Amino acid sequence: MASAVDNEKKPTKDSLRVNQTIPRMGELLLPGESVRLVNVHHAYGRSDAGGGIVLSGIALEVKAGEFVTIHGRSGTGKSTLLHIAGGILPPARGEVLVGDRDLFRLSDSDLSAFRNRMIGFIFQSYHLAPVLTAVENVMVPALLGGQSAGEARKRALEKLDEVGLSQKAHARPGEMSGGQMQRVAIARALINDPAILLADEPTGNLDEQTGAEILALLGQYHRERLVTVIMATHDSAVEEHATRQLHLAGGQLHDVPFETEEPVAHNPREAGQ
Amino acid sequence: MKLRHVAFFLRRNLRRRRGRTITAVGAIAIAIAIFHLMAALALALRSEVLGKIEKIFPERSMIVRSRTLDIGPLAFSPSLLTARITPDMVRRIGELPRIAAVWPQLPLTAPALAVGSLAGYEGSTDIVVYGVPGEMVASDVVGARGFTYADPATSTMPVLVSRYFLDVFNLGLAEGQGLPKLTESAVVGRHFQILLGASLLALDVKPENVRKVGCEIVGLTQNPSLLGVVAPIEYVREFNRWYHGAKATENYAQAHVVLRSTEDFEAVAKTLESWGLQVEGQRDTARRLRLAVNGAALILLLFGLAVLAMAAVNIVNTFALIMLERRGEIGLLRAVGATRRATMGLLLAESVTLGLTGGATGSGAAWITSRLVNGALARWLPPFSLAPNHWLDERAALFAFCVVLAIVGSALTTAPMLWRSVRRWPADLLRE
Repeated sequence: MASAVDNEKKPTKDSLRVNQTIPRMGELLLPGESVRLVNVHHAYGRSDAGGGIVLSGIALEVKAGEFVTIHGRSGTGKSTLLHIAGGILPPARGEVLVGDRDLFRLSDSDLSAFRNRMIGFIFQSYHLAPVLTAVENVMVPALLGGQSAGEARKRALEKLDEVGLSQKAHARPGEMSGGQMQRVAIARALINDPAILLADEPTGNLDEQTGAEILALLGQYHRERLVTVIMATHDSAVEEHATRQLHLAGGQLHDVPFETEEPVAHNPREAGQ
Repeated sequence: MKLRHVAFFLRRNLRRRRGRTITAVGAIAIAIAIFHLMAALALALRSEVLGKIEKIFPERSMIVRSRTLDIGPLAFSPSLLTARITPDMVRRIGELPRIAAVWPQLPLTAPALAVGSLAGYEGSTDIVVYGVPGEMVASDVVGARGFTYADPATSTMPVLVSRYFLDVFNLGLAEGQGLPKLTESAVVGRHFQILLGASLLALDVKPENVRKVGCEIVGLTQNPSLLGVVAPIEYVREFNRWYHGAKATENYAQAHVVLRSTEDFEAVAKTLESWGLQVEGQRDTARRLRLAVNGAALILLLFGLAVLAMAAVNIVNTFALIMLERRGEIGLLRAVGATRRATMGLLLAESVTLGLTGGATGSGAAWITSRLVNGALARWLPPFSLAPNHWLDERAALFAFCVVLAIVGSALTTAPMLWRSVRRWPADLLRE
């Protein structure tokens, strides 16, 4: 198994050509188009004796509008899978296709534009900039997307209002609770109306009630905006929002049918064996 | 990312991380201030002292006089044995190749008594007067009268006075008797009289044969071979003829020979010595002094650079810590859509702003210090001829250089760390 790649690939002629045709936000993942992970492998550190392998030949297709949850024990590679799907970590081997484009063959500017317009990331530990207020944190992706500060602020305030946090718009992360910070992170993830929402254990640091509120919020977005959601979670309460459940173990993904507790092999290669 | 967006992040980062901003700016400011002061001292040393050395010990010139024979305590120039500096000899010297100018120095051979008042005191003293061509002292003449001949019966005679007399007065008489110190501007333009044929010392003066000449001081000279009163050569020639009549000679005391190049010194000296003349040059003295001054300036600059280097190590460490604690922030920016270039630009703008603020603060403080020190020393120290006009260089270019140095230094110290961070994948940065 190859080890993790640290540096991003240099732009190629192909990727520059892709740049000229990159769609505006909301247009990349058209109805019927999917996010596909093809034979994705990944490992951390020394891979001798298989100790560092976290993903081993993952094949996953998430169609537009799906709400997919990925369960699994800590350290099984759920976050890594989301990072790879979101274009912020390249797989050691394999491809990530959005429509017919391979994310990791895009140039830095194209990939950055993809992250900015198409992906909304929600992290377990929020990753809010401590020097920025809630509204300023939410503004960041909009500013990076080229919006004016006034426009970005207006949208950020709207998003904060949508997540029920308008009263904390000018508070800094240090002045907010975990649940409030996660709401800010959700507002930030949603400000550019992404087609795909990647949530990495968004309720992991929250109490049960706050976690349920956060899940309800994400479920509402999925239903109302038809946002594709891929969520890594330990939280069984998410079942009511999910359209599909997967289990990650031993570097492999398995379908978890809603009616049964027994995992079913999802990897087509494995399924065919 | 647009400039106004860079400003958005920059303003908030610098303002809300106030402690860290002040620490970084302070470290840069202190290092730049020390470097600025060392450089100001070195530059002042070079520009002020080297200029004076060149003036006092001109490398391209030599003094030519009749050869002196030393016999025990006596030194004399017997006319039968040594060549004289006659007008013909001056012409011959001037015709040599490699010679830029020859300026003869004609002594006044009549007794002369200067009479005038200084600081409210009337006084008179025997003086030595030399006549020289105007070109020789052109740079010392500041008075409106100029240094040209005009009929002494109807106008004053322009004279230069040795700058060292001022030192003697200021550091001796004025200090001892509590008199006000004299500055160059206070002396230039003063009038006094020379009584030709009169003397307090000479025994053979004839009181009936005294001529009054009105004089105006038009400047001071630091030329060490012009210790006395210097007048245009035409006056001295006329006064010698008036006093000695037909017996007056046209022989000069010495001649200043200016060479086209310092490299010609040896060859010209050899030729003149072969004509029976004695040659004196200050080239070696000037070179040794210049070497010492340049060495001292270099040591000061090296000290300044050493301080800067030590500070740079600390600043690099500070920036490294900042980068370390902000890896997550860089990862987040990249994850939500900042390109490598935009992230790099944003953080470089921050370090450049710190460098600009620190550099301008430190260099500005050093510049103000230079002005205060120069002002204080000018007031506190007695005026003397070798004192520099500035002890610390005040030129604006040094301020600009120090600010640019701080900006470039900050950018260069952070750029490699930044580049290493932005090249990494956002997920790796976020995980750390």
